[in-house]
Amino acid sequence: MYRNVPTGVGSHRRDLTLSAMALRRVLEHGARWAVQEGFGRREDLDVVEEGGCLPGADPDRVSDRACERGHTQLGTLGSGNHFAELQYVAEVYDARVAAAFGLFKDQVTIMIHSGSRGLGHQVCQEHLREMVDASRRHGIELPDRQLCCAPIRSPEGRAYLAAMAAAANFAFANRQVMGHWVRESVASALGVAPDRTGITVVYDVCHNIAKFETFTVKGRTRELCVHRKGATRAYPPGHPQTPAAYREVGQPVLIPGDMGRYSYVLVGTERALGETFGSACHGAGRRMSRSQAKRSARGRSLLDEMHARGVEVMAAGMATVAEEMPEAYKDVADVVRVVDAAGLARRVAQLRPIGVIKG
Amino acid sequence: MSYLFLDHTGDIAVRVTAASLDRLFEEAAAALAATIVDAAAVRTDRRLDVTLEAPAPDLLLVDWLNELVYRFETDLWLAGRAEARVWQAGEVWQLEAKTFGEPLDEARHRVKVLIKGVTYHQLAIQETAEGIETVVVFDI
Amino acid sequence: MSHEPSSVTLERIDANRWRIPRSGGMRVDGLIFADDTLIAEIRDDPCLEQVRNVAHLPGIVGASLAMPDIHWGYGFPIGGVAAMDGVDGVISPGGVGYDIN
Repeated sequence: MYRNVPTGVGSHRRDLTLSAMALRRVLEHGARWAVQEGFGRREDLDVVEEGGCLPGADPDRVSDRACERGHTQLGTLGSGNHFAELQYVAEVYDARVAAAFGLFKDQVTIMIHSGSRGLGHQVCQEHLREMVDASRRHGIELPDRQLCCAPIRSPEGRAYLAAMAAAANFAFANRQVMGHWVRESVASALGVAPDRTGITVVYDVCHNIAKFETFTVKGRTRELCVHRKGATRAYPPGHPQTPAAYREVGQPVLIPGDMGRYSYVLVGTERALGETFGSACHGAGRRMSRSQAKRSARGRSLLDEMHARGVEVMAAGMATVAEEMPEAYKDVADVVRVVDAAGLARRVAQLRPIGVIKG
Repeated sequence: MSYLFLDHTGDIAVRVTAASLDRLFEEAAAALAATIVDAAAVRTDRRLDVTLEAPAPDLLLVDWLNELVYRFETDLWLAGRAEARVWQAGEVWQLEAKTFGEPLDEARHRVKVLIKGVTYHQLAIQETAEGIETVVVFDI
Repeated sequence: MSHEPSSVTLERIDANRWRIPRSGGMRVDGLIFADDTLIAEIRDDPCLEQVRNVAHLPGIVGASLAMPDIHWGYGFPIGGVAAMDGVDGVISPGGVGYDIN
């Protein structure tokens, strides 16, 4: 996996280069492009949020600079908190829902956390810049400039939404491509054909996105633009947007923890629909700043410590491992307990890491 | 003129102080390079020029640093040192800068951290008794 | 960056929910999901001010929401949810974040 999924500065696979035309199709079609190009299977798309393609994406709204940053970064993990992890199902809390998700105790799972890379970053940065001016023009008073915004129907608002959807599609395609390489890695390790690994996709979910979704607010049906920044959609059983395969149990909600302890799979509820516009948490949340974490890592061998816990770590840079060490994060079990107790999503399974790949 | 890295949850913040706006831009660029690699290891015998304009000096500062992030990400250009000139021309603020540096050479440079961009968070350029000061937050 | 202790008013609703009551330019309340353990850490973090700030945005519906993994972000907190009216509301790139996905 470490050999097949590129991590670190400027690293990418030579066998995947995107022409300008191909990049446009990635931005328009997201994970569907990837499947058409042979990365993964058609049925994977049934269990990706929005089928792996946000509507309204307009590649013309993505600047040349953003494209330049993106064209070598498709199929790359990135640095910071991004990871690819080999895990096993350590606990099952709800056997019926777990079975619907295809999960069972001691099963091996793989979790990938990555996004739209430099392309999305460039999109955000350029549109923030535009909106600093736009907020002023539209007479919107802001307590902090980073909150800059524009009316949804204004030209600036529409331009951002079209670029954001394109960046989200890049992220869907990125994960789909990496997922395919992970399948290939497992196939070659086991000496079987890539389509005989038995690896199926449980779910692929966004957690930094704004989407138009319909809710009942005080008895009235309204279309809202839900901003989720570090929050995961969590739709209940029966919801038309919950994939058909999970319609009876609810949408899977993937909650990565830190690299040493555990991650969780939850399931969406009706309660979240009414209370949080169908949203739940997205991870553990940092406890230490990156420099605090690095100071606390000084003089220690984190790789050995992780090995002693039964987790093998491979990383492009040791600084990332220090910044991302388990103690740098809150205990995700505390976060998940509150989400479960508040009824926003219910625990289905706990996944523990075996091998971790970091950028 | 100097810069100081501040402790910041999640990302990197740097306080830059200088006697003038020109120096502030130069020092901020040096801080950016020192965040990515060991600045002492960057050779400064090659040159890349940058010109930019923005409606306000603080926005120009963020544009400038984002330009350097972009140059690094696309051409691996590390600007070890810069000479900047910033002035107001009617409604806009302009920057003309010469950056001196070299492309990343993994044999000599160890990348400490990748900066993805520079934010507008709590952005302000302030006058102090010593000159001017700003805090810039890098997203990593 | 050093921050003053949070000056945000926080009222307990039940074991897992807290409210920042609407005041000043806030258009809706802030609503935070956390228990006693998590709120102890959240209280010391400037992210509560960010929850309050987001409540100022035009067209925000319901409440400015914070999940239990909330922490400081640029402008908008990370772990935040804000639903805007689909017609009269605003869209904010900062409310999505840099790593669009």
